[in-house]
Amino acid sequence: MACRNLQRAIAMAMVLSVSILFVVGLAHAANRLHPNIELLDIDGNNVLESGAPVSPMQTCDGCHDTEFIAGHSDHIQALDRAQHARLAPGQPSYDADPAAYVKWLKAYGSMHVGGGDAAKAGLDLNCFLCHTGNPAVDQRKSEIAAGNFRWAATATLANLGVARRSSNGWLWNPESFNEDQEVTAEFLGIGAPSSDACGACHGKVYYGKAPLEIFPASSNWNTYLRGEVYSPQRMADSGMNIQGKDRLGRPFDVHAERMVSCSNCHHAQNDPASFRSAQQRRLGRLKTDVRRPSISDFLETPDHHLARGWTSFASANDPFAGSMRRCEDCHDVNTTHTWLPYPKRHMDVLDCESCHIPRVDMPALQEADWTVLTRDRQPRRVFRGIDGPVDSPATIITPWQPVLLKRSEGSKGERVAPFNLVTSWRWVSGAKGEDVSLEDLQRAYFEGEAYAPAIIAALDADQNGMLDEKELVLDTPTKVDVVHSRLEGLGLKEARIVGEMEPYGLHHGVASGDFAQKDCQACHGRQSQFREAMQVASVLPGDVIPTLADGSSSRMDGRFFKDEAGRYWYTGEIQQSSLYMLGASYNPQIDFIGTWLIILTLLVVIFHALIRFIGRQRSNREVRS
Amino acid sequence: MRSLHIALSLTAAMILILLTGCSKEQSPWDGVPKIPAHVDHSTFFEGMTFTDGPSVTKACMKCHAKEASDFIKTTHWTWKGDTIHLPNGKEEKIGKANVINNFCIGIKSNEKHCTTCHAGYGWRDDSFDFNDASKIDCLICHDNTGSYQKAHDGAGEVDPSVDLVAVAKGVGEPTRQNCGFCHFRGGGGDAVKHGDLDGSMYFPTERIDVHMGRYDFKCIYCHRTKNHDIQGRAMSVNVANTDRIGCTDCHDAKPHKLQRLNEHTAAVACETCHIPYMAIDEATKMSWDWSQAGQDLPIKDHHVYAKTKGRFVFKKDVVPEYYWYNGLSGRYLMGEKMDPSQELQLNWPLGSYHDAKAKIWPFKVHRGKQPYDKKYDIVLVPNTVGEEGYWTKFDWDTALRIGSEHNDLPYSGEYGWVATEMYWPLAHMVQSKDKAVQCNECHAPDGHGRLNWKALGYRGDPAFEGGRVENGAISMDFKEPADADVIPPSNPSEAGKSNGQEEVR
Repeated sequence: MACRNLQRAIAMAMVLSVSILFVVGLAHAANRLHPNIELLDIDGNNVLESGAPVSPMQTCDGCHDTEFIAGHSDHIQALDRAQHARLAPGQPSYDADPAAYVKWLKAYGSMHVGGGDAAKAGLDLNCFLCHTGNPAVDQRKSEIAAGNFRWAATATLANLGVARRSSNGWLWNPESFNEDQEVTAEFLGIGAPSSDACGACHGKVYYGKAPLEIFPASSNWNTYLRGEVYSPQRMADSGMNIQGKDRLGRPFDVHAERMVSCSNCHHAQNDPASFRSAQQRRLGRLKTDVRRPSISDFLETPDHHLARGWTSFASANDPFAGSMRRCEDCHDVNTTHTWLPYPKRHMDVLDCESCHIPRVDMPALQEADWTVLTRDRQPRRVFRGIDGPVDSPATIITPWQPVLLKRSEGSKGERVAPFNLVTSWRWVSGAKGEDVSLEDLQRAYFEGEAYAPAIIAALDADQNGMLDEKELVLDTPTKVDVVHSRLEGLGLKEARIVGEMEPYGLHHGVASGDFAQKDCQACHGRQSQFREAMQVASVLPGDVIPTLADGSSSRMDGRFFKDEAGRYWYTGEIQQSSLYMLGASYNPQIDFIGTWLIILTLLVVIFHALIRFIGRQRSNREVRS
Repeated sequence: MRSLHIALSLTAAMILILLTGCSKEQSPWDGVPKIPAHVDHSTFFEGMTFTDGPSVTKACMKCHAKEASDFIKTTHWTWKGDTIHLPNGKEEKIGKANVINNFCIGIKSNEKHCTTCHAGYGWRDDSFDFNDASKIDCLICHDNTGSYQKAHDGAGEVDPSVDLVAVAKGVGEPTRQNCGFCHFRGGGGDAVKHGDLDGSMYFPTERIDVHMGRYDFKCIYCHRTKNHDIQGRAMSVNVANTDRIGCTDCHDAKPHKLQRLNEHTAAVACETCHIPYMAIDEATKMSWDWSQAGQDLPIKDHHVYAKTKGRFVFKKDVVPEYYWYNGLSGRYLMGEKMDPSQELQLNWPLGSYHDAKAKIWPFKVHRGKQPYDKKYDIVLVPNTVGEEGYWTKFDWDTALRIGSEHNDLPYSGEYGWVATEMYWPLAHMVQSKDKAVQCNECHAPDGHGRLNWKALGYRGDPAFEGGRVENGAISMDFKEPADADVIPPSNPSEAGKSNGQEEVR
């Protein structure tokens, strides 16, 4: 312990003595000042001696308060959010059902940084996943899928050669350690999380030179749900089959091109280099607050509530909502938008993304239908922005336009931002409407490896004994009844379908001014973008009309309609959104008053002219007489 | 009356303001020369017969005598340009005619092959009369029929199959085909010498070059000509920086909308961003190892090996190398002593991090291995052409002895192989902004970008560590000089001398 205290003291001294340089270094590079690292197991012994799996909680605790980090990091809450996103409905917590939770963790734990409930199951908080240079995400995933949670952090170091998997399990590689049985921080690439590290879970981040190829169905979260890609590569240079690709000379995201990394905006709350209090707590009279946490405090207790914006599902009580660097924190609209009339008025109403994400050139999820299961026992998914099979490189990607919705932004009130609308349907049961679990649904649909005969009989429209994509939809009461009765047979009472629509805000995939929406008519014309219809469902399973998901910070002021083909659409209504847009808004009362004002003005002018004319005539007559 | 004067003055002032305010913004097109329509020659030369090239030239000179006298003063005729001062006190004009390269090495003793690209007829040896204007080959630059050819190894004479009357009737302003006949095929084949000039530019698309592809530019739009002296400068054979062509001849010095990009122009040449790759369609020669020549190897790909020439490496879509360049260059001169244990730079760009006039430029660097004299430590010029030439006899000793005699070089009879480098600044295959180098390609994470900042003299990536001004390397009030302000070096090979080189001739 004394040794560890000494280590901590030395580290602090080094950090303090070169603090200014360190702040600069944090912005873009691995930390060259980080001391060498002794990899410790759960008991605090060097892994080279014990051969046990590494424990980041023990290893990093020499300098950083890992208990503090594990106790508050909102990345640890991600599993609950995953439930919210319908990845796996109806999963119990660890305390409610440890066995079921472990099973679920095997399936989805690779998307989690560890800690919290997962730590109770053996999946500890894994600092290496975000803070090393080249984490072995796939090897970690394999260990988690196999239930070897304790070895997941060790597997994360496999790409660096620090550990390797043998037929007898994981072995530490002594050659990666120095004579003091430590690994150098430079070798591990220890530093602030790179964009690649964030992209490993959050969405496609790509800095490679080879043409980028993405398959939406197997992409990470933001790419899957929003079509967002964070890459400096120009779309025209990508390997994607995008419609009109040769004219797409812009990068997937201009900030990626200009060396902005995720952590530049989504910084740690008490990072002194980026520190700014959340908007709700900011003092209105101060442009900036120069008082900063000390670097030593930050390094010892780095706040892992990473700064965030006004997400679609930000709770009104979230103290960190709006804490990230927004566009206006770096860009000055007055110097860049000199061409735009009334810039302040526009900025008061519009988020920058409304114009700077004018369209999305990648597919994104449109529907996730958990009322049916495909042959691979997954929900039926429909993507927008793609014209054919989603995982074929030959399929043409058809750029789509986001829908513009108002969303709440704290003290700034409501502003308009671009969104993708994702609709989902699922079975619930019981009086409280608890989600039907995936396992129960699989039991309802399958017998052994094949679909249950009753399911085939109900859904097989062409009577070929197989269910294809078009047939896998509960679009008639008969089909719904068959699944319903099978769920009832499993003991699930009052089984019913519910549908929700979730607006997912678009904030990445930003275009520079040259490619942003600059056509005034796009919003102010009669065919305003605000009225653009977005398809939200190809069919309505069980004829259930989806409702807006609870907790959304956005507002859908438009209306839904069903077209002749049975597809379900959303279209914005400018009047309902209480926006008045010159050229696009139509208000009969104002038109009525305006018309009469013109008529009355003309009448008064004519009457006045007539009076003067008659007066002049009379005056002339009098002069002559 | 006074009121009338005031009113008239005000009106005049308003008209002036309006005219000034409404004047068209400066356009890059203002810099493109307005080339007058060419006189149709198709009705000329009726009833005439031309037996050889000079007979055509004499016919041309009946109307264009001044043009002929102008032309014989130019480097396209003399193949010599800058006058330099040698350490022995003498002056010498250097140029293509008398410098060494690391492709076919040297011209003397090989004239009849090399002068296929001379705009003249009959330069076989030193006896060629550079004052005889009738030897000018007008057609190589002005033929618009596309049927004109020079004879193989014919010292620039016309190929006998050419219908000279038809060609003479079809003359016009020089096209890309005329210039490309020599400049696309320098070094003995398409795309060999230049990384940014090759056959893909005869009919280029925008993907190859935005000026030629999108706007159908001809070479002469940028290489403007006065008295038949064609503007432009090749660093491979010249050392001064006068008479250069620049993007700013047409484009504004700060042409970008973004201030950040405009700030780059003090240290980064336009070409650095706008020529992201060379040899876009045709692979260019990146290295040439003469020491491997003469073997009967079972290699049929002439882009890999030729018995006559040795082993090559050709590459396509090549990322350039980047160096400081202030427009001046150093040069190894024929007969200079060198250190064969070191890689010898036959030419090199001058300029550095501390040189305010220097900018980071993209280069093709051609690396070679070529013969030198082991006793005198000088680079030798082999005779390759002709009955005794290396390409016929495959005898290095004979080839080097003959070559040395012609070039007035001492030859001891012992030869070895020295590694050499040549620097070729890139100026063509220009890409539009949507294909230019992106920020992250140079300012890449972990220093893995196109530029090696530390090798260039920076502390690190200037996006984070500051540039030359911030680090005190150059003064903030430095103003870029006009070309005319820059004086060529008195001794272009001075930098080489400081490395222990001396002349033995």
